[in-house]
Amino acid sequence: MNLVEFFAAPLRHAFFVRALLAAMSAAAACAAVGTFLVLRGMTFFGDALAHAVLPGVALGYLFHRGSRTAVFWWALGTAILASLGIGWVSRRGRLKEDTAIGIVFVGMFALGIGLISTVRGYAVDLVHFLFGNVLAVSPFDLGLVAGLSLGVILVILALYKELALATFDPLFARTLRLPTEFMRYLLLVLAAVTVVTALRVVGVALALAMLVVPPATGLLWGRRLPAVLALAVGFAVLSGFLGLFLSYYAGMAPGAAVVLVATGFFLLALLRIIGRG
Amino acid sequence: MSARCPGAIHSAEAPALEVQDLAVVRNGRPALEGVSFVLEKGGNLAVVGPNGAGKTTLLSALAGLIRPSAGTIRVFGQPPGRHLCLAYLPQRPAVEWNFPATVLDVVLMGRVGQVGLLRRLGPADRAKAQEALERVGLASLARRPIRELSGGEQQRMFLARALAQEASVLLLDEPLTGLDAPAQEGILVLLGELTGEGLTVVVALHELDLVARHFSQALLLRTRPVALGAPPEVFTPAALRAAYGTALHLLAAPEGTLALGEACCPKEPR
Repeated sequence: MNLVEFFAAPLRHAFFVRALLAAMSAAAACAAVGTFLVLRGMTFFGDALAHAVLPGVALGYLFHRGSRTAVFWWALGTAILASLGIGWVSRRGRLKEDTAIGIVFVGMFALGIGLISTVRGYAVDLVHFLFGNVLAVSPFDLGLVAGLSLGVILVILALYKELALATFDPLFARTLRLPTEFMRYLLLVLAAVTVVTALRVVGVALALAMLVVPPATGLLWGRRLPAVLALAVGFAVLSGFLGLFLSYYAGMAPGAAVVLVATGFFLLALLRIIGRG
Repeated sequence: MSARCPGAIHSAEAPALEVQDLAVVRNGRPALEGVSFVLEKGGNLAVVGPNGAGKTTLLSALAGLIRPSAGTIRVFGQPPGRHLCLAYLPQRPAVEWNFPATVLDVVLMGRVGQVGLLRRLGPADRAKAQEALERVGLASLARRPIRELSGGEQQRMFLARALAQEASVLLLDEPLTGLDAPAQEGILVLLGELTGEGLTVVVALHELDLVARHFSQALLLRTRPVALGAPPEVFTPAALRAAYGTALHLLAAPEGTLALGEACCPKEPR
């Protein structure tokens, strides 16, 4: 089998093309938002968010049996609620942000597990949400994932210089009268949206990887923020692309394959740094 | 420098800074009480006092970051909250030094306020940033990653950012902490030049000797103002004892009075 055939064969399946596009667009959005989360030291937040979505998934499943799109909206609503909740708890209470995140995270996750455990015969479908089911993305779902991803990236491009400034030096941003609180919440909401798109591709268990691994690779490779962002998004898209082919030929779960390829790029960047001393 | 100051209209005849009976309460306790002073355009003022005396509180209030519980602050006749032309450099800025940015990138951030939302930085902004870097003597380091800077270079970079911001009032909180003597001297000389060009500078400092040499006005603070005026008038044994209490040891030396204090600075309440 030659190289052209290697890439062309799976592309004859419409489901594979949809999966490819969904994986690549979700990966791009995750990397763009993730870069800012990583720079702000908020990666734990991404993990918490992915787990906090579980009660939404469970409720959506309970109320609309079988409709994955409905579950998607429930997950999105829950993620936004959880991210605002974390932002609010850490602002109001005298708690540090990581503590606030921990509390919201375990509370929501426990609620999700509790809800799920009341249902019989849930196991198979919910496994999709834990590990993703990108190969089953419908045309409508693909539109949703791609549209949300595009929206996230456009918001980041539009507010790029303000986000960069507020991330690098929040106090200076405040003296310039930038709405730093608004931008913090905006970033939390963007993270919520991307986590939910990532759920379709890699599932709850691996969503964090999409937010953290490509940005970390970009940070190892690039010297300036625009380059870091471009590299992070580039590696993420490439991981989505190659990961799905790996999944196709190795019979591997697509989410795991995408994350493995992304981790491979990260190790490459790490070796490059070590090699240069 | 203050020709264009977005967000506020300068009253030409008003002093650069006018503070009257300023008081700030933090965590239920007075952090600052009864502070008044006037600083004309191009003036410089050093704020000195022991740790916890309210130096940082005063600068934050001037920067419009915290709200006074009483009294008024006027910046060129306007309240401080709306001034883009006020640049505040906190003590040890809480920035991430591993951030992927060059010196020029950080100085360009000074332009973000002027450019406004949804617009990109242009060649004019780049020129302003480059000019600011030249002014502080960092032009050769423009493309250097910020993590490779020395302490003195970091301070110069932030000063350049303030210049790129077209600030007409600089508020600096202990900008000399952690710098070696030549770097300290370099920053103070630069500040002297900038005031000569019409910038107004307020600096919180621990180094009384440097204040005496480089500043025309000093405010000795211990929650309340202890003394205000030219440094030789302010740094009297009585005033220093009143401000520093037992943290200060005064020593009669042949050249004059030596003041030895626990000057620096493990735990300044923020």
